[in-house]
Amino acid sequence: MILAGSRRRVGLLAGLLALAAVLLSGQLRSPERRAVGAVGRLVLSVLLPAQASLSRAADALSGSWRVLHEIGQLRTENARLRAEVERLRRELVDLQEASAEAERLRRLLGFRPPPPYTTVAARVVTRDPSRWYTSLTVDRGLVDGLSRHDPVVTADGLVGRVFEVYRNTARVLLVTDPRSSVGVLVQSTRDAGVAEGTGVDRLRLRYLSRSSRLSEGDVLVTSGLGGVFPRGLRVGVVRRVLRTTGALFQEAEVEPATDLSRLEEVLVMVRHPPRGDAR
Amino acid sequence: MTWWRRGGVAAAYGLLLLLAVAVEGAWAWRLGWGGGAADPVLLLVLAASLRRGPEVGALAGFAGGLLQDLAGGGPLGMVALSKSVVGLAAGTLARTLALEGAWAPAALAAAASVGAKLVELGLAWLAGDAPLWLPWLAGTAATASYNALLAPIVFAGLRRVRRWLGPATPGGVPEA
Repeated sequence: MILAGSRRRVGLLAGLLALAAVLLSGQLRSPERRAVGAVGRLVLSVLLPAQASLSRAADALSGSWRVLHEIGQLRTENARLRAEVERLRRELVDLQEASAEAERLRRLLGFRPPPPYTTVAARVVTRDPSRWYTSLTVDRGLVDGLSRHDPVVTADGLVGRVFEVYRNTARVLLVTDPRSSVGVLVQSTRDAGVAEGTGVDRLRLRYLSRSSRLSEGDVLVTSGLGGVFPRGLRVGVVRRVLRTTGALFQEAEVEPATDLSRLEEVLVMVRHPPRGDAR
Repeated sequence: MTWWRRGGVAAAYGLLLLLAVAVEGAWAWRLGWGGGAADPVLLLVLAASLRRGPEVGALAGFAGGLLQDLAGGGPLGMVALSKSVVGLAAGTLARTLALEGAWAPAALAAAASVGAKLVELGLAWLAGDAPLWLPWLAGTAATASYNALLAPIVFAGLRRVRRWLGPATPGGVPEA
């Protein structure tokens, strides 16, 4: 039985070998001699369309997978780009800040104080939000040569004067403080008056002669009288002239030359500069 | 087994082989790696051989290989011969060796893959074609690995088909 099985297997193998040999003979190295025959063509006519369909299905599946994969990649990329945008925005804000500061300092440095003054640049460190137009604190003090009544200016004009000095800081009374009064001249007519603070972002020009031909847009400068402020510092611009019938003087509403609500750096005009490097 | 039953089994195997060739041509190459790809025809031939004996394995191998030759555009008979040798050998081995355990299908598939490639190599050598050894070895190893991984799945799937087809011939082994 076993022997019969072995003989059958050997016979089968021999037959298949012979068949393969017949098939292979002549066309093993010559593809053009490959003859599939009618049966082969029939099989291929079934097989190839089936393969094409399966291949299309695989393409669709592969395409869907690719889309899903790309969505995942896009999400990652999107998160990365968002972080990048956020970082660049922060950087842009920093750069804009630095640029604005550089511009302010450049303008500040353009200010040339009259002799015998020199200037000390100071940074505004604190302000009282409830009394915005009264005083502020700067980061310079006695060691920097500051003293009481030193004028404080920007490139645009007068800010105020130092009224309290400490070792490393000083408090500045703004021209808009109601306690502040500055002797001024109308730049065009040279008529004298006094600019007083009002506690808001305006000054009041008082004690100006009725005969003075004051008009909106006139520039006021310090008169140099009183000994606190040197002559010629811009104080403000006349915005509204107030003439009251029967009054001895005329008055005006004046816009300060410097935007006092946005002060960040100022120059303190000192008469006696400190010796050595003061901060 | 009656003649009509035999005919049914043969037709079922034929269809499965046709499907395997179609799947191989359309899908298997896409998942190829290291110069090799899964060979579902070989796995089917192995299943037939283990289940229904070496003769059926040899015939299935020849038919499946011939279909691969036909679809692949290679010399007709080359893969047919290698697959029929593998089918015959696997069936014969299954009768003499105890192929048991979960690893058996994977090991057999790997060995059969290498065997089939060796037969093809021999035929190519006879024809005067010498392959580049490194790519050949890499491709053979990759194909053997793929088939080893797929064999347990394919065999399990075929067991379900077999339940529908009916009982095996006495010469087969139950594992496949």
